[in-house]
Formats: sequence, C-alpha cells, structure tokens
Amino acid sequence: MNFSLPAFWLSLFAGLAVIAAATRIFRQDHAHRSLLAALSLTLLGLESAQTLAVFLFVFSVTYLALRPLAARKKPPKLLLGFVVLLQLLPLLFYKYGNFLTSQVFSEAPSLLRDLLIPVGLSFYTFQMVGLLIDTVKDRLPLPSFLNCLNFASFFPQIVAGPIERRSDLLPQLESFRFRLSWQALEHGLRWIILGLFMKLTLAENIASESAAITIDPANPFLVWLECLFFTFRIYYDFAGYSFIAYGIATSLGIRLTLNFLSPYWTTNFRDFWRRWHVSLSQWFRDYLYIPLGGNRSPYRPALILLVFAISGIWHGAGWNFILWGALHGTLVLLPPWTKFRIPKPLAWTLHFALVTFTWLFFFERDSTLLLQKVTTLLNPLTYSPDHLKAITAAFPNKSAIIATAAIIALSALAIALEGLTLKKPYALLTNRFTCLILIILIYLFQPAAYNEFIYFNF
Amino acid sequence: MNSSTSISKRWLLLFLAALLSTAGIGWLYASHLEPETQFWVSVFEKRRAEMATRSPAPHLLFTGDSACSFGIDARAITAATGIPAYNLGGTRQMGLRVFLDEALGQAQKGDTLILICNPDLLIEDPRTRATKAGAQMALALPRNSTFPEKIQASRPGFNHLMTLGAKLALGLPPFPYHLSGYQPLGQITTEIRATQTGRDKPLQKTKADVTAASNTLTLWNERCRAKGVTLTYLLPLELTHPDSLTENRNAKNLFLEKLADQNHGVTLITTPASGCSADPTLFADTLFHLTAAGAAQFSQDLALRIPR
Repeated sequence: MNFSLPAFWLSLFAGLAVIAAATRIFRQDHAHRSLLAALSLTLLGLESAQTLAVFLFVFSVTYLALRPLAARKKPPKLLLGFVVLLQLLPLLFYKYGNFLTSQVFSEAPSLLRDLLIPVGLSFYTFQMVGLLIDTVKDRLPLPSFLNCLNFASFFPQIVAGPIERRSDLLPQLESFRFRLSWQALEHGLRWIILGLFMKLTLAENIASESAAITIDPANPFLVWLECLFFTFRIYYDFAGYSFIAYGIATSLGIRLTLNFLSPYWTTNFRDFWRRWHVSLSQWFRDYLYIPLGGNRSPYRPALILLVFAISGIWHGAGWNFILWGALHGTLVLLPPWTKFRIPKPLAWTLHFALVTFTWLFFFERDSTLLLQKVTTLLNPLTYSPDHLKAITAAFPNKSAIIATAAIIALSALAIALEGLTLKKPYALLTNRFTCLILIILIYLFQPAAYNEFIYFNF
Repeated sequence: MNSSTSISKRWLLLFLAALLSTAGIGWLYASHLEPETQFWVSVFEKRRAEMATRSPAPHLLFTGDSACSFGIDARAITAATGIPAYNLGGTRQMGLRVFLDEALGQAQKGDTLILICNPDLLIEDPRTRATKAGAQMALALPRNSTFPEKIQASRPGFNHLMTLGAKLALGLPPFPYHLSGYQPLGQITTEIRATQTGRDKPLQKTKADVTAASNTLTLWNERCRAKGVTLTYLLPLELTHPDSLTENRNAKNLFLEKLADQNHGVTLITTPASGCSADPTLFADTLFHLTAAGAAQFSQDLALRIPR
C-alpha cells in the first residue's frame, strides 16, 4: 500500500468503483462498514499474503482477548501484560529477533536473518495495544467485530500511521458510510497534493541528489551536508506520507490526527516532540510514560530517558537507534535555549543544528563510521579551509552542485512557508492556489528513480 | 447545491485542468524541445535518409550504446570488408530496446547486426519499462510506446530542468554534442576532451549477471532470426588504467567465455584488446567515447574479425 505508486491509486479507484456499485444494492450501514473492511483488507493483502496473515494474527489476538478481559471488573495486570506480549510477538519476531539474538550469540539463527518486516506492523500493533488497554482500563463498551476490524485495518493509516486512539477513530468508523461529498473530496485532495509534493518532489529529489555525492567522513562540512539532507528527507518523506493518509481519510469523511505540526519551527526538544510524529509521542506518553509514574515519578529524568530509548528502538533494531532516542531524551531534559535569554532566531538556529546533528545517529548504522563522523563534527580543528574547498570535489559535476543547491533551497522554502501559518499548520501550503502550483511541480519535478518510504521499514 | 459545494467542484476541475495542462506542456517539451532527444532524433533521421539509398543486402549494421555511436567508423569498416556498413548506435540512457528496435527496423534479410554495448545493458531486464530517455525518444520519433511510458516521457524531472536552467544561465550549450559532429554512415564525433586515467577496477559479473545477459541476447536473437538477420555481440573498448589492464582484460575475457557457454545462439566477437585500452589519446570525453582517430583504428582492427 504505497501511496506514491500508481498501482495503489488504480487499486483504490477500482475498489471504490466496485463499492459505488455495491452500495446501490446494499444500502444498510452494516453493508457500508463491511465494504470498508473488505477494501482495507484487500489493499493490505495486495502487499503480500504474509502482510495480511500477520495483521490477522495481531487482530485475532486483540479481538479474542477483548471480550474476556473487558468482562472482568478488574482484570489481573499479569493477564493483561500477557495479552499485550502476545500482541507484540510478531513485532518482536520480525523486527527485533535478528538484533536480539545476534547480540546474545555471535550470529543470529538463519530463520531470523534477512526477515522482511510486514508492512505497517509497528503501527497497527501499537494501535491495537492502545485499543485493548483503553477498553479494559476505562471499562468501555466492547466494539463489534466489524467496527473493531475497521478500527484496526482502516487503510489510509494502517501502513504508517497515525496511530489512532479508540476515542478518536472508533466512533467515526461506527457511523461510517460511503458518501460523495465534493467539499470533503476537495479538502482531502489538497492534503494529498501537499503529501505527494513532499514525497515525490522534495524527498525523492533529495534522495537522488544526495546519492550522487561522495561523503568524506573526515570532512565536517560534507558530514553536515549529509545530515542536512537527511533532516529534510525524513521529514518530507514521513510527513508527506502522513498527509496523503490524512487527505484520503478526509475525502472519506474521517478525521485523523495530523501527525506533523511544522516540527522544524520549534526552538526546543520538548516542543519538537509535540510536533513530530504526534501520534507516536502521544502513544508513548499515554501507555508507557504515565503508567510508569509520569511527571510525578521521583525518577522522572531516568523515566524520560527510558521512554525515549524505547522510542528509539521502535524506529529500528540497532544500537544507533537506541543512542538516537537516548540523545533526544537527554536534550528534552535540558532547559530550552530561550531560558538563557538568547534571541529567538539564534535559539532556533542552535536547536535546528542540534536536531540536524542527532539525525546522524538515526541514519548512520555503521558504528565505526558513526563514531568517525561524530568525532569529525565535534572536533573544531577539522573545520579547515582545505575541507571547505574540498566540498565541490565531492560532487560528480557542476550540474550536481546546482541541482543540490536548488533542492535545498526548495526544501527550505517549503519550511519557510510553513512558518507563515504556524497557528493553523500548513494552511498556506494547502491553500487552493498553492495546490495549483504544487500540481505542476509534482508533475514536472519527480525524478525517475523511486525510493521506498523510509518509515515503511519501521 | 450550496455555494461551498459548487466552489469545491470548480476547484476540483481546476486541479484537473492544471494536471492536464502540465502533462501537455511536458509532452510538448519531450517531443519537440528536449535537447538530447532532439539531437538523437536528428541523428536517427539522418541515418534513415542515408539508409534509404543503400544497395541490397547484405549490410553490416552496428548498434549499441554511445560506445558504438562514437567508436564505429562505418566508412573504415566498409573499406576493409567490402560490405556496406552503417553505424546505428544510440546511448545507454535510451536503453537497449530503443536502439535495437531502430536497427532492426532498418535491417533487411541477410544483414548482420552487431551489438556493441556495456554488459550492464544486457543484464538489465529487457522487459522492464523503457528508461525516461528511451520513452522520450519513443515519443519524439514517434514510435509505439505504452501509456505509462508516455507519461514518464512527459515528466522531465527536477535534476534535468535545474541543470538545463543552469546551463542556459551560464551560456553553455544545453547538450554537449552537435550535429556538426555527425559523420556519413552514422558515426558521432566530438572535439570535447577530458583528462582521464581509466577504469582501475576489473569488470565484475556474477553467474546471475551472465544468465541475465544471455537471456537478453536470446530474446533479441529470436527477433533477429524472425527477420532473417544475424545477431553478434562485441564488448566496447574501454579506457583502462595501465595498472589494471591485464586484470581487466582477463575479467572481460572470462565474462565472454561464460557468456559463450550459454545457449543464446549469438556469435560473440573477441578482439586482441579484449575491450580494454590504456592509451588515453584514443579516447575523447568519457571512458567509452573514442576520438575519430581512435574509432578508425578500432574499426580497422574489428573489420578483420567480423564473421563473414
């Protein structure tokens, strides 16, 4: 279910055409919801049979456990923990099996090596864990099988979020009907256009231009450039995907969480995590941080570090991800720059530089290279005129320098435009006139090479 | 219908109109303005005009990537073999399908088609969609292409447009080669020279690569045989660093030996140079583009080895 490939849209339109015909015959609410579930499962199944099978396993565990657990006045924590562990089992197997066993033994068993993580596993598993805990803990009514299935499998967000809460998504799906609303369609389409622009025009071009540059790990300017590339790329890649998901859901009359709220316009890490991958931050807050004591815990700093380290490993099985998470946790604990009476533009610059620096821990999985690059960046002596002069030699030709400068400028311009409407996120970029320009840019600027969404790996 | 619904409908139509007009502009650019495509379309047209007046078969038709376009002096081949020869080469970016289709379209029963290209082109799956340059050529020639290929051709891409804009702003030519470099019977020449030391690593191809290359040759051989044309394959001459010359020659010979063991039915031509040369004066602006003198020398050597 890759929103940037024509095959997805063809499958979706074909599915919607069948549904349009079917809803003329079957007009009951129940039929509409059944057709939505069928569409979601078909689109997921088109990914691969394994993807569908793993989803059905996690869903079955969740649904079968809901009834007996919800029937008890106070279900034992141990039992609840066991069910959550069962829900997490495929995630542990596919995502962490190789990493965990290779840390214990010198080599992971062949069964665990080169395993492909089923698409969306990290996202729908967390959503179903949330559903189970909310239903049991808050003694909420048991959702019907169909509503529960739609909640778990709603196709716009199953693959890469947002990770929705029961209270936000379930009531909308319980009254879901396929109906054509031109306003909803137009509103949703504007978010889809913004998402496609971010993914196909910005993230894809950043990926192809950066791939042509030879990065010397001893040259700090080139390492900064590499980090800057990734800073832009991961944002436009993931925010782009999230906005397409938001747009599709909006067109269908469902309101999802806006997963990004101009995160690069923040001046401290606490605020950054309120605006970056919003639904994941909320999930960790509600299901891990608060249950472990939250702000009232006497070990609050250690707890924050732990939650961020877990958030790090959620992103990928590797020590670099844990380090990245822990680094962010540490930076969250530090007082914001503004406390030092630093002017806001300077505070923004320092914070943005730190965010850019921390992405190095995210994308560099080779520990030797990571150490070398970190040392380079932190050693003032490496910032020599010779290294500055060597920047141009890293590019294959002059055209590549121009194209790189242009894509960085376009990426920065898009962020600058976000900054003009921070109170209403992305209002200018989803403006109708802007969308007309974005359509032209998407069509003319998309490169021939295609890269997978980065978050598909998570 | 309330006013906000009608406004939404109007904007949806505007979005569609913007998409269709951009596609139209992209199509116009790809088919009539894109400098590289325009150059190659002109080259193909010149060659077609020359071939229209040719004598009856047999002929020697050379095709392949730019190593062929720059490296085969068809006049030297004709003089050495006594068989009329034509250079119908294209570029690697076009993909195998475009220049082989063009050459096969021109070929007559009894002709010999000699394919000269980098092994990587043989390894790429020939059934995959055309490259962007290939799709643009298909649009400009015009030639049959699928709807997705037409769409692909009409989307120039950020890198292309930025590079073109920069060249125009700096007063540089939008495409480095010019029709004045076209030689009779199809060869392209250029005055551009680059300082190069040559490839310093030997060719490395796996067993799977050899199988893929063999499959490609089998596929094209079937098409050639259906038209009564004989297909042969030759490795292009590549500038190699003197320190790697022997190693690279051995690697290329090994690749050809492994390819010869496969059952594709295509004759493989070998030369004493084995696709490697350490003489930079024979090369123009890339590791595969020969100078006019280099092409004449290579062609004379090759003429002796062409199967009659």
